[in-house]
Amino acid sequence: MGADDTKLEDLVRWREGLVSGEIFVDPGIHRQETERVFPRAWNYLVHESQLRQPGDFVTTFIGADPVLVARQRDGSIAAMLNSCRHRGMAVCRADAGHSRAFTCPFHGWTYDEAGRLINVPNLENGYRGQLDTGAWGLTPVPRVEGYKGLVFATFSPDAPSLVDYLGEMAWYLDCLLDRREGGTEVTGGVHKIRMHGNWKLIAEQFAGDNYHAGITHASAASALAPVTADPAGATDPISADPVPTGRAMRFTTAMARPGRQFSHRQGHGVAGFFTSDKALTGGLRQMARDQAVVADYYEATDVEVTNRLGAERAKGPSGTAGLVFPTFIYLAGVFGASTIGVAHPVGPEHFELWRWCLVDAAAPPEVKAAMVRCHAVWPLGLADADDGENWSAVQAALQGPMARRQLFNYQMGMGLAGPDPVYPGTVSPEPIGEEPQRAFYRRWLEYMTSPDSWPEVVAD
Amino acid sequence: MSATLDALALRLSIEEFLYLEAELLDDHRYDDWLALLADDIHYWAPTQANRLRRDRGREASAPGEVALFDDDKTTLGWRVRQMGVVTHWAEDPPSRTRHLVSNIRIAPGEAAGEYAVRSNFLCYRNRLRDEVDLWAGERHDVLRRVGEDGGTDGPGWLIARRAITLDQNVVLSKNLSVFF
Ligand code: FES
Ligand SMILES: [Fe+2]
Repeated sequence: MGADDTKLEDLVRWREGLVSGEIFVDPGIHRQETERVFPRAWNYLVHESQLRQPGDFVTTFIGADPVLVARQRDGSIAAMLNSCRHRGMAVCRADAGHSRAFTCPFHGWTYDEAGRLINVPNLENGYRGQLDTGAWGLTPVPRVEGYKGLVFATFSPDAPSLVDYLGEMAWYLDCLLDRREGGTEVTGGVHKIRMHGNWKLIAEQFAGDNYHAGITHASAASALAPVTADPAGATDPISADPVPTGRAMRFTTAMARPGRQFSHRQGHGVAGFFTSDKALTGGLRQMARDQAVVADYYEATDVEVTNRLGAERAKGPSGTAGLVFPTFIYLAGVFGASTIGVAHPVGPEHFELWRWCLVDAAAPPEVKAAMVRCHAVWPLGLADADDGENWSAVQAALQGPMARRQLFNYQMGMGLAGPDPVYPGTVSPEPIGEEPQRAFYRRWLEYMTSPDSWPEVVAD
Repeated sequence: MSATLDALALRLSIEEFLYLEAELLDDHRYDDWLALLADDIHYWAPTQANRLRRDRGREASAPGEVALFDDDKTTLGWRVRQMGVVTHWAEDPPSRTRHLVSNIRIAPGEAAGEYAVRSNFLCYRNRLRDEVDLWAGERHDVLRRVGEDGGTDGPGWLIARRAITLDQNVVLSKNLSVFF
C-alpha cells in the first residue's frame, strides 16, 4: 500500500480519537516516516557527558539513518552520517570511544572527527590527484543543538530552534535536568534491547499512557511491595499508603491518584502523578538498600531542588514519564532510577530501546552507584519485561488485514485539556488520559502529509 | 591417585549442582533456585559494547556502570516473586526454557571451601506460538561448599557470586525474564 495523504487522514482521525492499526505495520507508511518524520524532527543523539574530550564519539541513528556524533576541537558537538562517501560503508563500527580519525574499512578513505576527508589511498596514481577531497567529507547533520545536557539534531533547515521546538516541554524537562547546580550526567553503560513492536507504540506510551501501568506493571509493584510479618504494616511502594493484604497491590487505585498530563503541539507529552513527600521517600525507603540510599538523597536535596524548581514543579507531574517527539523518552525518579532513552525504529515491526541512567552531576558517588543498580533492576528488569510482552502481542495481532484495519480507541479524556492555573501549556486534569497521544498522532500526521519540508504548526 | 579421585569427586559434585540448578530454572521452581544462592550473592551481567580495536578488553560495562543484572539476593527475590504473580504477563503463559551448561572449568577460590567455576551456557526459550530466543554466554561463578563434607541434605553448594557474559550487544529478546 502506498501512503497517500488522503488515506493517512482516514487512518489517523485524531479529532475523533481514532487511529488505525495500519500505521503500525504498513511498510510503505514506515518508509515514509523514515523520510518525512525523522530527518525533519529534532532527534535525540547523546548526553553531553558522554563526550567529554575532543575526539570522543558515539554512534547512533536518526530514524533509519546511521549517525556518528563527535566532540570537536572547539568544544562543540558535530553529527554526520556514518556512511562513507565512496560506497556508503559505515566508517565507524564501535558504539563509543575516542578517535581523531575514522578509516573506512572498504577502501580506506579516512575522515577526521569533523567528518573532513583527510586521507584517500592512491590519491595520486588512482585519481591523478584530481579528487576534490574538500567536497567529499561525511554528510553533516546540519543542525545540532543542546538543552541542559541533552543533544538533539535535525536535517531540516526550516525547523525552529530546539528551544522553540521544546516550548513548554522544557519547563517540564527541567524537573529531570535542572534539579541541582551542575545539571546531570549519564553513568557509564547503556541498556540496548530489541523490541518486537512498532516504534510509535512506545513513543505514545511515554507521551501519555500512565493508564497501562496499573495493569501492566502490577506484577512489578506486587513483587516490590514489602512483605512484612505484620501485613497491616506493609505499604504501597508508590503512594506509601498502607496495603492491607501484604503484597497484594491495589494498583488500579494507585492510578486514581492526582496528577496532570501535558501535551504539546509539537507532539511532546508528559504524564505524571503528583509526588507527595511521603511517596517520594516513604515507599522507596522500605524497598531495599539502594532505594533507601536514593530516598535519603531525595530528602537531603529536597529544599535545594524545591528552591530551584518551585514546589509545583518539583513534585508535579513531570516526575513520572515523558516524550520529546518523536523518540526521546524519560522516566524521572521511578523506583530510585531516572532513565533517559531513545526508541530507534527498526523497520515497521521492531524498535530498539536504548536507555541510560541519568544522575545529578552533584550527587555523591555512592548515590550514583545506588541509582545505577536501581536502573538495572527496575527499567529493564521488573518493568520492561511486561511492556515488551504488550508491544509484541500488539504487533503480532496486527498482522492480519482485518485486525490492522480496526480503528483503535484513543478517546480517554477528550475535551478535558486546556489551560491550567499552575502548569504551563495544554494540560489535562488527570494523570491518565489520551490527550498527549492524540497530540502525538496529530503532529505525526502533519509530518507525514507534508511532502517537502518541516510542517509548520498551524493554529487551531 | 587419591588427588585425582578427589578432583574427580569435586568435578562430579559441581557438575551435578550446576545441572540441578538448570533443572530448577527449566522447571520454573524459582523459589528452590533462590535457595541455591548465598545470602551475600552478587549476580551481575554487564552489557557488551562494540569497541575500537585499541579499546579491546573494555567491551563489558565496568563494575558500577549500567548492567543487565546487578542484583543482590533481595532484588533477585523481587524478580523471583514477580515470576509468581498472576499478572506477570511476560511469563503468562509461561515460557519453555532449556538451559544447557557445558565447558565447566574448576579452579581453587580465594576463600577456603570456595571454587572459581567457569561454565558456558546456551539457553533456549520458546513461548506462545512461535517466539524463539537463544542466549549464549559464559558464567564466572564462585561456588561455596556448605557443610564439612559437602553438605548433608542440601545440594552441598551455594552460589556466592555469578558474573555473566551474555554474548549480545543489543539484547535481542524483548525481555530478560529469565535467569542464566
Ligand atoms: S566505501 Fe569507504 S573507502 Fe570505499
Ligand atoms: Fe510500562
